[in-house]
Amino acid sequence: MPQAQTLIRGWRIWTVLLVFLLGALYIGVRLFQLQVLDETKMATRVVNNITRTDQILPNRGLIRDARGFLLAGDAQAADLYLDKGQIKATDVHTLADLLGPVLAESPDDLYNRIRSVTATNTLLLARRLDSEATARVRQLRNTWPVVQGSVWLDQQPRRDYPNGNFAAHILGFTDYDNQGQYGVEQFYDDKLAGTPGFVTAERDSNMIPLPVGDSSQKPAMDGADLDLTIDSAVQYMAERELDTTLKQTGAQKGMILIADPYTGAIVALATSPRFDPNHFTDIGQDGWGLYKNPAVSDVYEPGSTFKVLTMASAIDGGAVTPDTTFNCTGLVHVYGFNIWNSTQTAHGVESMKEGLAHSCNIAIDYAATSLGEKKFYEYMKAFGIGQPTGIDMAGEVRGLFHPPGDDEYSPINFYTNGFGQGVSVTPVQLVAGISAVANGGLLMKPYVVSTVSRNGTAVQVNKPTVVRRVISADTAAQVRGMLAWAVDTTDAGKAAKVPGYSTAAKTGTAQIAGPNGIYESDGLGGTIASVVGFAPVDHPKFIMLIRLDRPTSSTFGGETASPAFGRLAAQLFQYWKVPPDQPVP
Amino acid sequence: MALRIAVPNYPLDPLDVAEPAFRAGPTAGERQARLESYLALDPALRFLIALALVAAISLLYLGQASSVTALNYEVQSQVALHTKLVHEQQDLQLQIAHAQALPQIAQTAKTKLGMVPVGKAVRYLDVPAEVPMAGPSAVQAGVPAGGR
Repeated sequence: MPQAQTLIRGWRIWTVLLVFLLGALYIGVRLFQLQVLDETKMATRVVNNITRTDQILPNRGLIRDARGFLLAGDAQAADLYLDKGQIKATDVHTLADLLGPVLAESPDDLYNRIRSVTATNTLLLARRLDSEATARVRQLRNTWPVVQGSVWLDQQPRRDYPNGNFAAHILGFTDYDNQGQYGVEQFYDDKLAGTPGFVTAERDSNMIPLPVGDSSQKPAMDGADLDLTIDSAVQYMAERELDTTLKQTGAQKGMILIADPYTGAIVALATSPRFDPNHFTDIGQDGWGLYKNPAVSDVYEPGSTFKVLTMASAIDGGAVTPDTTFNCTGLVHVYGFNIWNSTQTAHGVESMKEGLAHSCNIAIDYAATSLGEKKFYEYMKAFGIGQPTGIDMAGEVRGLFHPPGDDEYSPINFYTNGFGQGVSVTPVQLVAGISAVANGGLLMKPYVVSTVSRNGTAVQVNKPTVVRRVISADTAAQVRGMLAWAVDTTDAGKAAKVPGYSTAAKTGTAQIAGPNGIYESDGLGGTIASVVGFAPVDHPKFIMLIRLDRPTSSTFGGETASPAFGRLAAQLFQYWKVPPDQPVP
Repeated sequence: MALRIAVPNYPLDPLDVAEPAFRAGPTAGERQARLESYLALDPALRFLIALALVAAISLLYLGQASSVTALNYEVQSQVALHTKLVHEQQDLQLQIAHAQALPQIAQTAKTKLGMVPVGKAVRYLDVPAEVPMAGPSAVQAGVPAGGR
């Protein structure tokens, strides 16, 4: 059968050849399809597979105080994610036991949290873990397969405030999206944030860009740094004094604002309660209102501290002089209302100087009415009442001020506004207005950032800005003299006095208007006690406002805020080495 | 010593040169044929030479590409190192800031060093007007009497 064998062998060979040929044909057709017909699609797919765009996050700018101490900077942190699809149900306990201590969370709580999420496999376990916790997670990943296979870290910058709740309302905070909220963090967010960059490149298996592939990149531009006018030492003294005063007086909350009256630079802003911007979500029962900056976002009726502006207006307008006398009967009846002195007593014949020292409502009404309604409101507007000061902190409000022509204007306003009722101001407004008396008549624009710089080069310098001249230098000197005389001759004022230093100050005790506009009871715990003053009188080094909400030791600013003013002023004189300008008793 | 230059003894006078016997050189055609015979390599040899050239060029390219790649990895690692150092610098800045934080210093002073508030720290002294102020006088400071 050799012929038959040859035939069979030939058939097998042809079959194998045919199979190979068909295979080759399939490969050829497939290659043609991939390389020619689908060339564009395939090329795009290849490029997409190996090309990746990474965002380059810029460093957020630093925030420093006036002496260069760092108040806010970026720290390295990471968000911790879990892929539930990569972990067996039986391993969740182990994972919770391992990660719980790192996340400062009980393993049981963490276990329940992981099990409770069913909608998605990807679970954010923790935000902005610090470098220590991140290192511990990395160690666990290297040691435990259950962690390695299911957990990963996403590097993210975390804003760090080394001083905790120190100057919190000035700084604000940065949220989880790296956006500034409140304070200078929000106001200067566009400058602090910088501009993200990107790298688009073909990459190897380790995601390292290949040098020979197509690539494009734009470097990130880091945010600019801020130098504040805040002096940390003064800020610390103010916060310490505020905390002490709140304990002593039983006040619910309070604030101390210290500024340079000649420049408008804010030197310190102490607030209480305050929040820790490192843990901005821990606001407890205070709620979101805790973030509000009381210096610019809270309005209050200034009460008698406002009399300084009224008296300055009346003297500057030529209506009265410090020695102008009138007869205080303790009561004025206008438009069906009785306006009393707070003590409901008459002072008899008194000069304007004495009236201001006695904090006499009737004397202030006399000065205001002598000036006239139109001029009075012109002066108030010139002092910046009812307008934002333009300070560079987020959330500033204009206050409540209803001059003639305003929808809510009432003629009685004129008789109450003069002594700080029926008008609401922000502490910054009041300090800016009374600074004009302290500095010789100029309304200065307050500010907290002195320089914005990038890589050490200043890109914006905030210089002292004169808004307008409000009163003459002579008027300012006369009012300063009246205030100094009040401090030297009244019990309320003497508490604010530092031996050896001339001091000008005015206390205030204001009732608190409820939501319906009706005043609450002005008994203990029902007033806002305050003092505003400056020293030394002839060339003030600082102006300071202390405001205490609802003190319970006394309702009066002279008994609660004034002593704090004196104690803090003494520290400031020492710190700034201000020589005494009066004989020391 | 005089410089001596060996000069070959070329016949300079054409009259001195004996008339050579006439010898015809290769023609142009012959020279062409001879050149072609030189270049007429074996096809296998030609292929090998071409292969060697391609291999050499490929090796050169490969060497350069791998060198560029290696440098790229080095650049990437330096960039990563730079980033790491920048982050370390930021962390150190923050550590300094934490250490310099006034509330932290006050806490340390109270708890670790046992310091207490001083109370009224300033005591004013009455200085009689006729007593000269402290500090070096002109003579003590070495300025001659009479000054300049």
